[in-house]
Amino acid sequence: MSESLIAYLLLSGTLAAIGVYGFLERRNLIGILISIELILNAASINFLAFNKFVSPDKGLGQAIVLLIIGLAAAEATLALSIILVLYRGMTSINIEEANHLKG
Amino acid sequence: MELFLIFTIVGSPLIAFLMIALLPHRLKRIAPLLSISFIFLSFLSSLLFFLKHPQIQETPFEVQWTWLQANRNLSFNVGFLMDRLNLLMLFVVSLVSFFVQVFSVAYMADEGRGQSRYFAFLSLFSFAMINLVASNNLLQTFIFWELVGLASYLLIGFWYQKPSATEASRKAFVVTRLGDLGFYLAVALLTLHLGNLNFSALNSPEAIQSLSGGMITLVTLLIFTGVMGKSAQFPLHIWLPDAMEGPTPVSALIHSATMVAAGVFLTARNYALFSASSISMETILIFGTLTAFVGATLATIQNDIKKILAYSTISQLGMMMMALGAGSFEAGMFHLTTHAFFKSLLFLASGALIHHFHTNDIWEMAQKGSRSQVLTLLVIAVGGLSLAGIFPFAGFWSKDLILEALEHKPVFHAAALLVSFFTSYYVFRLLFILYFRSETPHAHEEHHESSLLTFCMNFPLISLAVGSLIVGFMGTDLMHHKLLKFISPEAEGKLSIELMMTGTGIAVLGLAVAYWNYLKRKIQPPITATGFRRVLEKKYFMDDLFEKVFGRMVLAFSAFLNWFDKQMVNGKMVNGTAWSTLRLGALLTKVQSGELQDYLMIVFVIASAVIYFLVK
Amino acid sequence: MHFGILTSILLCPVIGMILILFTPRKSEQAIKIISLIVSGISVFLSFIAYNRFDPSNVLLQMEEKISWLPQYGINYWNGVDGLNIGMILLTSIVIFTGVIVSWKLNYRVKEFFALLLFLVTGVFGVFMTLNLFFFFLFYEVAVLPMYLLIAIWGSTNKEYAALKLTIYLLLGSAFMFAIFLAIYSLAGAHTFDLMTIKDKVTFDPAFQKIAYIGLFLGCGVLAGCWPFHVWSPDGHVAAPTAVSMLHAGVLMKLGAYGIIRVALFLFPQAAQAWAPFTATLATFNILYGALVATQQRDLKYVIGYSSVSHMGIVLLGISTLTVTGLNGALFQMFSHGIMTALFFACVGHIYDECHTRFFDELGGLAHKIPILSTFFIIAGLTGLGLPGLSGFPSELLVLIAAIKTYPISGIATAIGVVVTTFYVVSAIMKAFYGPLNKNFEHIKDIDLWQYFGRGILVAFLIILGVWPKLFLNLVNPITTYLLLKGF
Repeated sequence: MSESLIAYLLLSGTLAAIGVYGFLERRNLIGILISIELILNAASINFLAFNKFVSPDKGLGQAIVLLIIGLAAAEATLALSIILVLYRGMTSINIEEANHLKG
Repeated sequence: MELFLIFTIVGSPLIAFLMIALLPHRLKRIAPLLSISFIFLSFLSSLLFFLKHPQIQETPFEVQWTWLQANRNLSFNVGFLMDRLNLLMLFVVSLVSFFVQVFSVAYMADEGRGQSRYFAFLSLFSFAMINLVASNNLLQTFIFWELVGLASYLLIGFWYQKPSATEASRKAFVVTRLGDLGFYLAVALLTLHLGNLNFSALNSPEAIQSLSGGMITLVTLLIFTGVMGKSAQFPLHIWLPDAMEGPTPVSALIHSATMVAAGVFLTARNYALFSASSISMETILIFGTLTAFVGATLATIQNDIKKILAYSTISQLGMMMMALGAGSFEAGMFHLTTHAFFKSLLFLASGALIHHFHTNDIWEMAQKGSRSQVLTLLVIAVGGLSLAGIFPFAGFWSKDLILEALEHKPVFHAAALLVSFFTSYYVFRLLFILYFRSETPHAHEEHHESSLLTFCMNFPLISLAVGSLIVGFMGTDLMHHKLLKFISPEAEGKLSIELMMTGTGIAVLGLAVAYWNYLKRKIQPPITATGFRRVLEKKYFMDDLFEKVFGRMVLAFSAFLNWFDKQMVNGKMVNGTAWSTLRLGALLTKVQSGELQDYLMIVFVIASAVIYFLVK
Repeated sequence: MHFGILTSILLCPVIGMILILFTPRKSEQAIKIISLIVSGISVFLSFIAYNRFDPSNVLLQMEEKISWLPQYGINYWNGVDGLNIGMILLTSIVIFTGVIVSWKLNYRVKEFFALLLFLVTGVFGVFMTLNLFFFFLFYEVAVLPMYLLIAIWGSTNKEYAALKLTIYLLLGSAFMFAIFLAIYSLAGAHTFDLMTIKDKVTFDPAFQKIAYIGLFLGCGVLAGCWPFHVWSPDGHVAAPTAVSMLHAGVLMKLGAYGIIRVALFLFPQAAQAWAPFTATLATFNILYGALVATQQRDLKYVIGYSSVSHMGIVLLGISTLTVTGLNGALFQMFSHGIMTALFFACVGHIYDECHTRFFDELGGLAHKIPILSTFFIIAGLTGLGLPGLSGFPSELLVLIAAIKTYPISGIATAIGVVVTTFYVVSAIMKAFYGPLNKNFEHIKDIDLWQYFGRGILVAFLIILGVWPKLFLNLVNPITTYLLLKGF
């Protein structure tokens, strides 16, 4: 089981699904951020799995995953700082209250 | 030399107009002098022209230049034609203008700064009228026809502070323009079908042959609508009585002697064309008769001296048209000439009375002692007897000529006799009231005007009185039909004794009735309105018809269009489009909930769908 | 190619605008003088061009061609023939007098004159260019400053009118541009040059039909064609005096010019097919505009609707597709331009002095402002087609052409003249005659400078009315050539 591609894909799929669900349903911005991390991680797992079982070039997938980790870190910093600013302005990080762009 | 003379004739009033208009303020006082001398110059030049070319009828003098090139084949000309017909009109116009302008110096003496404007407008009028008469083609006639209308408009509304005067000027302008609608269309049609609007070409046998009969009738009737407007023919006569709001000398010049005769002149000018259509001739005859009758009857009940004369003018213009319609072109023109003299005389004399008594009402004049104005009453008597057709005054000869022309049309002949009865009645009514019903004047009210002004007032009156005596004889056997032969060499001008007797008899009958009513029964001004009199007071409902029915219909339609424009085109269509765009926008903004996750959901769903379809 | 006179005319307002932008805001007098000088130079140059123009030559003259984006067939190509030389002259006269009339303006002077000159640049450009791309470009340049000019310096419901006007005109230009692009791609020659398209390309008849009517309506919006006219009265009323003058005087002619220069020029057969339809629209214009004008109470609205009526005469003249009618239409474009400019110049002064334009509040103005009243009356008389003034020859030509091709339209034109007489005379009567309103005891007549400005316009009306040859000689050869040689 641990040697088949399907298992990895199932895991990453589940993670991604949980991420998307959280992303759409959480009202807390931090929660949304965590969900995004989950989606990113699901993508990383996919990359690694395909790298291991399919790709001829063993280095490429790992490089991309490293890139994703870096990207996630940068994204987390940015997002957290936005959340911080939002919190200062609204004393809340509930996304439902941040709807000033409503038409 | 001829050219120079013609330019002097037609151009000098224009020079006067321009000079007066451009005079600096300090020099405005000389405006009357300029105006009078230039119109006299014009008269002298036309006289000189005639003396140089006594045989002008055989070889009319014509010059022309291109004015406007419509396309390769079609151009319009300006030009002048000199033949007997318009030389006669030139004499009449410039002479009457001259007398009226001299009279105006006295009449408008109190006007102050307005005087220069007045004389400028008079010069403009003379310019337009002389050019109308002298032009050699229909379009140029139309152009000056309109300018004459403009001058009339400006002069009727001369006292523009008075709302009634401005109303009257508007009415005159709009009603005549309504008539000119037909004239305009006729010009366009003739341009299309003939391409040459010169009178000589229009009235040539070839032109008449080349046009179909229906087209000739159509065109002549269209021209006749213009004539109806300008010459105050029924039912477009309604503007003329109102036009009496203008200064009295203006009424004398424009609304009796010259401009209103332009229609008669135009018909005479195109007589060959008109004669080619019997329907048109009949129409002219019928409308002429109606006009003559309506004018004469309405004149019998007026108390305003100018209104009496105005309705009398309408009636006399009707008589002229009757003569033309009956086929006697020389009778019409002869009556036009005599009428110009005696009617301008009457108007000027009434102007003298108005100037003196400061009222238009004949009963008030009588109360204030009109009998004291001996000279004025005398000339009114000369003019009035002439108007009534009493032997041997000018109107007698010309009216008899018209009666003779109508001899073979019994109905119209009878109508003409009826008209002369009414004419004689209102003339003697006027004379009786002014003289015999007058109170003794208060002597101390006499105020003396300067001798120059008195001269300016009396000189034209006397000259015109003499003129209107002479001009009648010029059409008779005594003077070998000089005037008639001048108008048309073939004119016979034989007067039958029976006709003369009938005419005089009818006139005396009118005198008798007037005598009975105003000297025996001593009728006082306001008489109870009953029956026919009521109709007369309502002016045959013509004013009401035009103002209340046509006017209101057009205005109501315009109001509807205005509503349509504001509410439908602008409101429903334009603003409606704008509004629905805004509403649609508002509707679409509902999608914009501001909830981040809603947007994400949409993105997710659409992205999934796209991926699904791509992969599948 | 000699000295590029057309470009020089075009550059006059541009240079003026740049100079104004570098002038300090406070020196208002200097700004006005700069505008006056540049517009004066453009008048002068237009007269030189007029003088140099040879009417007997039907080919383009004073051509200037600079290739700009030759890959896409976009060239800066100017030239004049009988169709546009008069329009260039008209534009320069109207802007010159417009600057004089705006002499008393004191609110944001710098921006006003800069925008005004910018606007005129566009107008000059449209009239002289022979490249469809530049035609469109200049057209937009002419339309857009209008929005600001009306919305900032206007009166009576100005934001609404400015918005409406801009949207309308842009809608028209969108139509126009779509057709231009279609011409570009369908022509196969891949060029926007009008003359090249004309010479080298034959279009599919079905396309011609669509393109003609599209252009007619697109340009017709600007020409105030019924039922797309409603922007014009509102716009005229709201705009400040000089802008109304330019707008009614020149901008509406852009539309009519576009119809002749592009639509009629490229698609003569389609014009023939659509002529009854366009003549009907034009007839509606004439009668509808005149009748609605009788109902107005505001002097500017009267003039606005009279413009709709008079532009109908232009459109009718074009629709007759005869030499006479086209001559009449071109003459009417010039005459109406001068006339409405005079109208608005007069009403502008009345509004400045009396702060109202409603008849019911005015009255008896002739006592106090006789000179201005005279000018207004002259403009009015031109409007009602009085002979001796320039309105008459143009109406006469269109009437004659219309009587032949569309008798009903011809009769409608003549009736329109009578209705026009009624409302013009009524307006004069109510505003200028009668007893003087007590509130207006203090008002002043125009001074010598303003007298001069309006006097120029009056002089043109009279000169052209008395001697119409001056203008008709310019247009007659080219219209004859275009219509008889089959475009």
